[in-house]
Amino acid sequence: MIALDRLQQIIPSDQALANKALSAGLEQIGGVSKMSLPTLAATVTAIQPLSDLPLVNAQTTAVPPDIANFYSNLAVGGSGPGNIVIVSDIIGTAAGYNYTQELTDTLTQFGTMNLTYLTLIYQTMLNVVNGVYGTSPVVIPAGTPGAGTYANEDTAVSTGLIPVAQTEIATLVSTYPNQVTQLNKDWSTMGDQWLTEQRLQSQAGINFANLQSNSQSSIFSFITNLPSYGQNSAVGESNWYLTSVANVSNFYGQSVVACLQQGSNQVSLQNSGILTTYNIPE
Amino acid sequence: MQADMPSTLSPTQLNAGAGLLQNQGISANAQFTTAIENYSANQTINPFLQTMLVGSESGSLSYSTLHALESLAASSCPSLSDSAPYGNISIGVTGFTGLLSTTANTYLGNGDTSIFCQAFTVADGFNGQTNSFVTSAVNSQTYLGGTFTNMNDQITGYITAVNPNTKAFGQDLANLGLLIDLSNLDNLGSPLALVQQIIKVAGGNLPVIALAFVSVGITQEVVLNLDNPQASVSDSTQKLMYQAMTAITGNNLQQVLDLLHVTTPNITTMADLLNPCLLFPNSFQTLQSPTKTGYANIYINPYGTVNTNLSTQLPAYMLRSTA
Repeated sequence: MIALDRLQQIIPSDQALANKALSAGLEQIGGVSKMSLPTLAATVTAIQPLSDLPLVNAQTTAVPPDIANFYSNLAVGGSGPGNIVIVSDIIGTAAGYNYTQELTDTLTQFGTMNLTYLTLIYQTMLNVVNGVYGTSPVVIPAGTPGAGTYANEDTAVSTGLIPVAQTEIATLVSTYPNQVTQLNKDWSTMGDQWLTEQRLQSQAGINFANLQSNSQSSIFSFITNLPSYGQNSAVGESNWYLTSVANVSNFYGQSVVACLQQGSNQVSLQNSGILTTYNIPE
Repeated sequence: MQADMPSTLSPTQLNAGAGLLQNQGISANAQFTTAIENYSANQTINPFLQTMLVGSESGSLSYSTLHALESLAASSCPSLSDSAPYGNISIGVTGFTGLLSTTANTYLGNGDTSIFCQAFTVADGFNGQTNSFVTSAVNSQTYLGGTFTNMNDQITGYITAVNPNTKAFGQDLANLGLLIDLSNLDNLGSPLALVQQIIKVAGGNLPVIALAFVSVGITQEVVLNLDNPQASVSDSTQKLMYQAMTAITGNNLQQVLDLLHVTTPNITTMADLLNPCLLFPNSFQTLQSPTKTGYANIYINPYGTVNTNLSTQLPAYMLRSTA
């Protein structure tokens, strides 16, 4: 490179300065050193600079912070990294996402509580609707929750057993605060998941009642994309989700998983330069 | 159909596809359904759920009683009565877990796998689109690292940063033909760079230039060696080259201009090919250069007076050989 201090000893100093300034300007254009002058000329002639758009031209940042915030708020509630939305946030129920562990834990908590009397109340309710204590009137025997005579089954349940159950549930809540806290956390997680799915389905425009039944083209398209779905293996994302709902008790379900694994492997193989010959000639 | 045409399908895709087309291969997660079954079969929960089912099917329980059962422990511990954890979740006599089973089956198309395929495709697409926007919006606050100037520069690849008058600038560039070697911008303005570009285009030096150089005292050895791209020429020799170029006019100049396809008007000596003001007659007044404080015009008036502030504002490595 010839710097200004040398160039101005060779050509007139003002021309030297102008040349250095011009080269500084041109070097801002990405890839300019790899193109010919006619190519640059044609490009400059072809481009359309912004004109008559004073508000856009006045921007001092590429994307104003309020617009960035707008998009951030658009996707509030996703369970992915940085609260981004993942597939299981939208249709996670079928995969048990945020349900399976919570339901299993529910029974674990039940196992540490004495639910004998609540069980008896519920069993008495069932006996009532099964006609064990008669139907009209209903006579729940002494020593049994809600004991007494009622005009019919509905009255026996609504005025006799439901109040007893409410009292027993209140007792359990006060007797087992730790278990109840965990149980409510589990069920809130499930409730939140279900509500999130409904909200995001609405945003995504998914209305199951309006989807086309027996659409072979949808299946063909889905199958075509299966390997690419395999490339996103984060928990709750496409690979994880489809593996969760694949029925691996049969060949077809196992083939779905194999297809996902093929897609996942393809990335590693290509990155290492190993050639693959997956595809079948038509 | 030709047997050897490339396909986009693998054996696993064909195998999986055969299952899905027969509504097989996809089902609710086995651990999930087992968890629901275990909960529903629990000795406490099972009689409760049976009560609602029997009471509903037989008609022995009224709507209000069934509703009271459905929400029995909703406000305190919904898991004790399979109630919905939130009031805005509507359930029936199968309880909250029944709703979950129904929901899963709905997602899976209730036996029509194509419904599931459509829903999954939309969900995956929505997921990607949303996150693309969100992630881009977040990254937009940092990705240019403070180098953003304006939207015009952004959408024109910074061409408008060089000259906002793109129409005139483009015309001037087109008129310059092959004059400037864009891979040698670091040496723009030097006589040697101009000669090397001529040699590059012509495949060798032009006799009119060689003769002019010799006539001002440049040795034949230097002149003959100019064909070598690695040739080193002293600044004093380049100064002589410039002097020689001022004397290349008329037909000799025209040979140079024709060779380089330069059609810029009012070029009267070969030395003019090193003067940006003359090379960009239509657009020199709007030529810009990046400086420490932003963009500055290279010329400050219509007469071609150069902005001397640039002598301190350009990057140091452009100003001083020792920088």
